[in-house]
Amino acid sequence: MNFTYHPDLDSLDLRFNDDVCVSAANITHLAQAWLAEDNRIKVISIAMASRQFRNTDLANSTPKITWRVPALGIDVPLTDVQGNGTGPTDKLTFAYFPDSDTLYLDFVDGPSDIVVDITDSDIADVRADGTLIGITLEFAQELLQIEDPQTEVPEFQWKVYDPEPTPDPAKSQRTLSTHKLPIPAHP
Amino acid sequence: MKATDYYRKTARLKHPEITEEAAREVIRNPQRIVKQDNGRFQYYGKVTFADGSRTMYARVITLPDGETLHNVFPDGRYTRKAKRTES
Repeated sequence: MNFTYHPDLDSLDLRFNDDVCVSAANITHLAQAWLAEDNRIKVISIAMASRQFRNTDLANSTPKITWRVPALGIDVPLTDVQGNGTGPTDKLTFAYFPDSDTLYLDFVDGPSDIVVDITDSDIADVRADGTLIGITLEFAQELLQIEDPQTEVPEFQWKVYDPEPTPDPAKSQRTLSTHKLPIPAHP
Repeated sequence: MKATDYYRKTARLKHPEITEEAAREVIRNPQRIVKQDNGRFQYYGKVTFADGSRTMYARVITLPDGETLHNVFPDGRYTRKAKRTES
């Protein structure tokens, strides 16, 4: 999973893999999903990301991002540079449920006001003011491209796009946080 | 009462306005049933919110066995569609 933050646009792209996207689906007026030919979500784009996460310095810090498997008591922090945000929205939890192969992207604690269909099986929980509460992604193992989500943590990177022109394209992004550690052993 | 871990730990908390019992009632007496391509079932039916404030259509999703509760939420689109049909 790659997060790329664009400071000039204040937008954040969450990319699950490199598949080519062929269509888009609106989630809210500030969030969009990009779908591949198989109608699966490959990218989630969030505009005004600093508002969504209540973090005004996403170019130099990250929300608190966690990989969680409640059934196994696994709780792994994915970010090592945490943000300056306030309140419950400066976080994102990836909660994986093995019994139904469901991944829930939990942006904000608390109940949802509206449910938005993104694909035939994937939905988003949204608050009445447009804040994205969470996204439910079904059949997540294939999406995450890991063999066993119960014993592995998906690779994770938070990158910041540099809007200044640079002769070396490789330097147009800097990596703020990377997680490549194996999952800790669990009982 | 069978339910997935996702329902117990997430869906139920995101949509506390629909009780588990109300969801089971939709499964018992659905207005419409749709089988998804992945084998899971969607049940549609009218529910009264837990606080009695509103009546709305809900979508209840089960695993392919048709009884393990997986997701439950108010379905605004189906409610609007049903109202158009009723009028």
